[in-house]
Amino acid sequence: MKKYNKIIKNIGVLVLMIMLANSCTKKFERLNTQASLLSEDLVKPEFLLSGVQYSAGTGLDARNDGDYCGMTVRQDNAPFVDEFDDAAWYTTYTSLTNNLAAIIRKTEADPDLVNKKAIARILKVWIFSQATDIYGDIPYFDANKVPDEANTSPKYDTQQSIYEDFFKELKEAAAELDPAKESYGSADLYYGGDVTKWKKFANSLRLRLALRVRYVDPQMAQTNMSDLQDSDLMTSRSDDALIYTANDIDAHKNGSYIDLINRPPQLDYVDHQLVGKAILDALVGNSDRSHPLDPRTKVLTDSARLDGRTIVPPHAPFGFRAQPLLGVVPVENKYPYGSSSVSIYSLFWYVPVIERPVFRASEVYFALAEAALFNLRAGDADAYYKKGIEAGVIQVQDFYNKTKDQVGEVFDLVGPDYARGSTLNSFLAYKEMKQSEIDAFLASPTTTLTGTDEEKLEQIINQKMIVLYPNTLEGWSEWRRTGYPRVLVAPNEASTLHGVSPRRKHYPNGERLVNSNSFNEAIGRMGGKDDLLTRLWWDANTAAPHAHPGMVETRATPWK
Amino acid sequence: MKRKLPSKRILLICIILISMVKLQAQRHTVTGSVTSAEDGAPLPGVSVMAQGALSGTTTDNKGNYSLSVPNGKAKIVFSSTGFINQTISVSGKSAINLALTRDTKQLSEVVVTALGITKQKKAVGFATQELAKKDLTEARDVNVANYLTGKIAGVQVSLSAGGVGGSSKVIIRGISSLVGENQPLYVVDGVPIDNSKYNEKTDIYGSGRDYGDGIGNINPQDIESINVLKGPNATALWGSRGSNGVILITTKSGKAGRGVAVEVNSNVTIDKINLIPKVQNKYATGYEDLNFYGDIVNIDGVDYSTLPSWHFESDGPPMDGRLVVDPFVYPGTPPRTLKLLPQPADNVRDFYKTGVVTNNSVALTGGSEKSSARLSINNTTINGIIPNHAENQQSITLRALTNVTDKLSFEGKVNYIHKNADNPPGLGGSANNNVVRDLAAMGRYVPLPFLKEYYEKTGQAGSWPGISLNPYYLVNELKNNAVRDRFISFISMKYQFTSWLSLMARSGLDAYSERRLEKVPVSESPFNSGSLTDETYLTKESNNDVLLTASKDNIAKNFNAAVSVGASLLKTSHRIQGWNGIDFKVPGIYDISNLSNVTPYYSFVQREMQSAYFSGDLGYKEFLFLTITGRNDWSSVLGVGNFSFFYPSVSSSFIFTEAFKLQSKVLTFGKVRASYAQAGNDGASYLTKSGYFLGSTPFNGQSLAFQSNNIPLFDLKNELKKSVEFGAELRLFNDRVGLDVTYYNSNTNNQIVPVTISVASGYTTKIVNAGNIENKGIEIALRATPVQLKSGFRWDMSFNYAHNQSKVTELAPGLNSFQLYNTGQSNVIEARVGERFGNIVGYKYKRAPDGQIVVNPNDGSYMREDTLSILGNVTPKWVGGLNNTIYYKGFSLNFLIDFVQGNQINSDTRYRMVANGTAAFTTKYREHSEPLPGVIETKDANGNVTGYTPNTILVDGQTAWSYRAWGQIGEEFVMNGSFVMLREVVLGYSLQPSFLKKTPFKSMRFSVVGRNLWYIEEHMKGMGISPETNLNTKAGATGVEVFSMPTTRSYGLNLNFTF
Repeated sequence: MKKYNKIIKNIGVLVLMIMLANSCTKKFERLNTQASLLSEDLVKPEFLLSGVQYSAGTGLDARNDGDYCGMTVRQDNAPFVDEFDDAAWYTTYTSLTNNLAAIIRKTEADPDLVNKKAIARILKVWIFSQATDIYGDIPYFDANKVPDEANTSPKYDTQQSIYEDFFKELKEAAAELDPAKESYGSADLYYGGDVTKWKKFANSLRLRLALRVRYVDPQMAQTNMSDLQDSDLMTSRSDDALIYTANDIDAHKNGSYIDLINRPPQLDYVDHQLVGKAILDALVGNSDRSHPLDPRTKVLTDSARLDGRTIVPPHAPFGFRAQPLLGVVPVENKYPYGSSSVSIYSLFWYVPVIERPVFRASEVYFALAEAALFNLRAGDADAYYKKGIEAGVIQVQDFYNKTKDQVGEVFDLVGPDYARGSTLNSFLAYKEMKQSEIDAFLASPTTTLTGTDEEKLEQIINQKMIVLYPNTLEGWSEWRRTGYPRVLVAPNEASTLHGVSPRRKHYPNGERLVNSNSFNEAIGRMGGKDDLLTRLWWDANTAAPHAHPGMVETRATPWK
Repeated sequence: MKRKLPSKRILLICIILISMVKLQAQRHTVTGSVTSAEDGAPLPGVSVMAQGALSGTTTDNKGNYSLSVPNGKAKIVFSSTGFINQTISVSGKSAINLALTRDTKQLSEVVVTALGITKQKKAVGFATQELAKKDLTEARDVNVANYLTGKIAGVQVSLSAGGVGGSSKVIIRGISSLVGENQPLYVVDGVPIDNSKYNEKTDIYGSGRDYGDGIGNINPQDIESINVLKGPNATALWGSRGSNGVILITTKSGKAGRGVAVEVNSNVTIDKINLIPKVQNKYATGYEDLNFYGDIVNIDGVDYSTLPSWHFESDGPPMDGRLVVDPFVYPGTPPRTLKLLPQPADNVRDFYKTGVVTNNSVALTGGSEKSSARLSINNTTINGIIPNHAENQQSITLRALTNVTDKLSFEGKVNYIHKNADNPPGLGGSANNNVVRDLAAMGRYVPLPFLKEYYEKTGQAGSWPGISLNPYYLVNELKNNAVRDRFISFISMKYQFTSWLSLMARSGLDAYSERRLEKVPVSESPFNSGSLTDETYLTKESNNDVLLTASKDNIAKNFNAAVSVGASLLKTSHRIQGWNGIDFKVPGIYDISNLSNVTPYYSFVQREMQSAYFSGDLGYKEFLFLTITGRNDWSSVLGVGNFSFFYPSVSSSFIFTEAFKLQSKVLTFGKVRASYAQAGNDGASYLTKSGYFLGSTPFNGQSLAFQSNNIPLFDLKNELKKSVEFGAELRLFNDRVGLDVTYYNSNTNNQIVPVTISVASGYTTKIVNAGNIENKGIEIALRATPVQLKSGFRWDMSFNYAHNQSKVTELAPGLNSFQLYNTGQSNVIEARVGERFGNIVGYKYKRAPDGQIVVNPNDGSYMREDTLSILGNVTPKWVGGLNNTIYYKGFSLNFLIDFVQGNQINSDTRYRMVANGTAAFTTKYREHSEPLPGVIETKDANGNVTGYTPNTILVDGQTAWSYRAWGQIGEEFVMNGSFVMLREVVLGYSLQPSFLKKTPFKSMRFSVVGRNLWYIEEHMKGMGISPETNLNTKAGATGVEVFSMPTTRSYGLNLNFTF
């Protein structure tokens, strides 16, 4: 029986063990915590900043905004329609501003971390300014709280109140920046943590936003401009905020390159982005060929026949440009430069490691030129204009130099059809911007402002479009604000937008369902409609947009 | 070991087998035979046990037995289902023969209930239903879960869209959880097994395939019985896992004292395609109007048109023999013409093969007086209807029991399963993954034999009109493989302190690894740089439990009582580790070193649950019974402070025929029962915390972190189902007719819902505990023996019918509807407050008041409404089955008809075939000669509708058909999902014992079996697709049909013999 007593004892122990385990739930919390989860205490501001900069890329992108302002061309040639595009909204709040808010929460109590906080504040303004420029009134003050305080149905703040906060934030953040204190170092993908450059970025961004409000609130514009009179601004290529794609995994490479390697080795207009007419007009000039060609043209664009099957050798002169226009328009308007050709993005845009511009000094010069022209800030408009063009040329030259070594990879990919008659070396040699070409161009009348102030403004904005390229959202905002460049869209009764470019984007449909009270309040301020043609608060230039000379007016201007 | 054995090898195996269990010396042996008191026929399978012993023996085919008892004074208990137990004192006798009387009151029938506790059926206060043994072996299906189809009231079984070898979806008494688990818990020999599915296909896009579920690994031949516990009332003792019902599977074991027996079962079935999408044979690919043709090519001085390879719609020219440029040529071939004619109508059917499924098993059982063991070996092979789809599964099971003493026994089981699946079919709406989609949308003049030849000669897919990927290339080059190695085991110990007190301790482990490989080769045309995915899934579930049981009759006058107290510890973990690589450096080398870009991934999910429980039974005078159970669970996935949950149940049964002495020839037995219970569903892991995640790959050397987008629920609670059940059981006409009726009403509260919130909050979803889904219904099971003749002719029938209504009575505050599934067209499946669960919501045709469809005056196409409507519901109103068996001499004929009624299906196949103009019915209107039937609105100056005029606009095929898809007229793609199916037919013959006497065999049986034979009624005939499949096992995907594999009819032979 001894043996069995032992067994019974063992059973008893087992029972006790299990009973005991039942009272032990201490380790449950740890068990139910994902191993990969970092608490807010543990996540480093560096990780969050890199994450935001990486995710933001060149900034927000409102789908088709490049087409709205003539920077790019919509390939299906269809008129603009009521379309929903929630991506920018989602990206803003759930990939960008939420992480920036976390940095600010983590750093605000520690004076030693003031640079980390200030840089996050500047980036937050940069992101939110794009979001409000897309949609108008948006949740701003209620957004991005910690989970237990999260406002699940945040109210929409007016664009005016948001802009007022932008100016305050940028001013404070720039003042906070202190080169003597700790910064992000290499985790800052733009500037390597250089606080001085961030100060220039903050001031330049304030300049951009001050200009944005000049038609609706000249006083607000003027106040900020004067405030910035003696502040450091982005003035050279080395001040540019850029982020380069990485050549490790596909997700980090230039998306266009990945598209290309995943497609049959053939470039044609069906698959590829097209350069918009507004850019082509600005690059090549509206008129006679006696002017020297802007040397940036050949780096930024290539030629291809409209049918997409045959590629004109890249050595060919630029007599081929044309573009399909939006909407139902007569053929002669649709293809004003001949019916069989169009410009495509040059091969330089397809290299794996490419510059993704965030904010560049060249833009600042054009902003200064406009500010000077309209007496918002002291300075010589003509000089700024010329410097802007020069900065733009340097920008493209640098772009060429940084990408040319990779072009070979793309050149091989697109195949002999594209290369017809040329070798990589002859191609690169042709594409290189020679100093003589640059000098001739900079000496040409294009680089001098002429005419009335309004005509000068048009020249400034047209040139600004080239340097903004490919930042389509900024291009669209400039078009809305000033009415330039003149975009050729056809009046079209049948289309919901009457063939005109939208002036804002619809709010995401989900907001109507899950945040209806706040949504309806915001819509109420816009006359009860979530309309693409409603002007934003700062969109107050009643003269804009300006008709394109090629546009056939068939009805009264439908926009409000 | 006196029996003569057929071969030395088997003898050897038996010796090994028997030596594993401890042999004990004999003490006093009793032999004898048992017969039926009714007709004197020998009774096989009667349990013969010494009173108080844990195991005994059973009578053989001739009713003979031999039992060793401790001494000459022992008592022997004889029991058999359907007969009254008899206890006989040995009193020194060495031979006892007796006759058992049929128990017309069914007082001794037992059922297995929660935690494996065996109970007298009469004492059970809730509905359970057992699957008869004969239903388990002959009409084979690879997945055991499919055996339940049509046989158990209230159970709906749906097949996988992936066809044979795929997962089953079992829903008992309706869906009750919005996003949680809705399938029952599977418990094998008292130990829960894992039935999770990894990486289920959840949308119509992209790739995905069904590598099978957990229950599919169980060898049908090992199963002794299946008992279905239908709801919380029966399963409250499983607490947090019990709310969806439990399927209890008991596997076979050796019989002590029965010597050695060998059972061989061999089954082969062939699968022939039944339904296949019906395609038109009149029009080629292309578009209407100017794009009708592609480029013009001059051949021998005549211009011919090409049919461009990028045309996917079949809205092109009629296939009337006209000459076009032949696209079906090898590169470099000079242009030539093709006479545009349809391919044979059956060409798609010919693409598929005849499937073959074989299942062979050998089982050895052996038993001494004290010990027994069973060893079974099984091999199943599947050759699917898709070329290169082949699976095989081997399983070895050893189960042994030994009584160390009269009081102490050990039992153990080891089941090892090895499964290899090559190329299970791709699912979903991607033509680069699912060959069914390609074939449904393929141009009707495409010569499949040429595509086959082209692939075989060039190794390339090529580019063909109307085809995204050459189907031969797809099935031959896109290779997939999954290898699963699984151990299901337990060891248990039982100690019988006294005749009324025992303790059981058990440890169970279900652990498996599955390695999946997916290869996409480098291809030139169309271009693909190739990819390779290699992932390993590691799953572990361990269950440890103890149970102390006390059972005593006559604790007071006329009172019997039993109490069980137990505790258990459950741990599960799921680990996925793998990598995905793209861009092969060199084609054809499938190794990680050959890839340019590799992304690793890893995930680990774990949980733990601790439980303590009790069950108490009280019986009064054999007619009134009360059971009270309680279980407390501590689950790690719940919120801190909310780990603990208590689940009570109370049930009662009252045998009024016994209480009021009402038994008669007409009313043999009558019982009413009632119960109330709570059970739970504890949700997924990791819902109670939030934070930040690091991106898996650094960017330029920098780590990237992102906030999680979910607002967690810090104090997460369990989903809680409360259920009331009433039932009655009647046996009539001397037990020739049995009727069981159940009514239930359950409410599942505290649904764990990820509510979509304004993303401007910084988060996309917020977890809440809210909402309620109500399920109520009625189940009827009727059993009868309409004919029973002296000659041995007997006809048994059983019919079951279940009506269930799921209603969403509440969602989270402020939340009116919850999207369960987005079909990818305009339709969604949703749960809406106040509505039936699972509504299909989308746009209806716009109709005039008289019901005529309104036509667009601009183009003559149909218009849709501007607002969304309910187009149908994916949950059936009633399901059931009718099973008949006729016995005569050694023959038996069984046929099962099952039905599902009152549900709708959202068909993506229909959407695609209407959009592409390949469905057979889309040939109408193609000739621009007739208008769509309907009306055109007349409007006044303000745009108000003033009346309707008949439509006279002539339309082309695209306008008539494709516009319905492009215009999101969802109503067009919702179809009636009701059907009546002849599910099984089995004709069997058992050789007569008189004949077998001269052979070494103890029994031998042949059967001819058929499965899924005939849709007696279904409403999707025009499409040629089956209403039975769904894309995945999630709640929302019920009734979502996305290019399912064609349904097959199975015909087979089964041979079973023992010796």
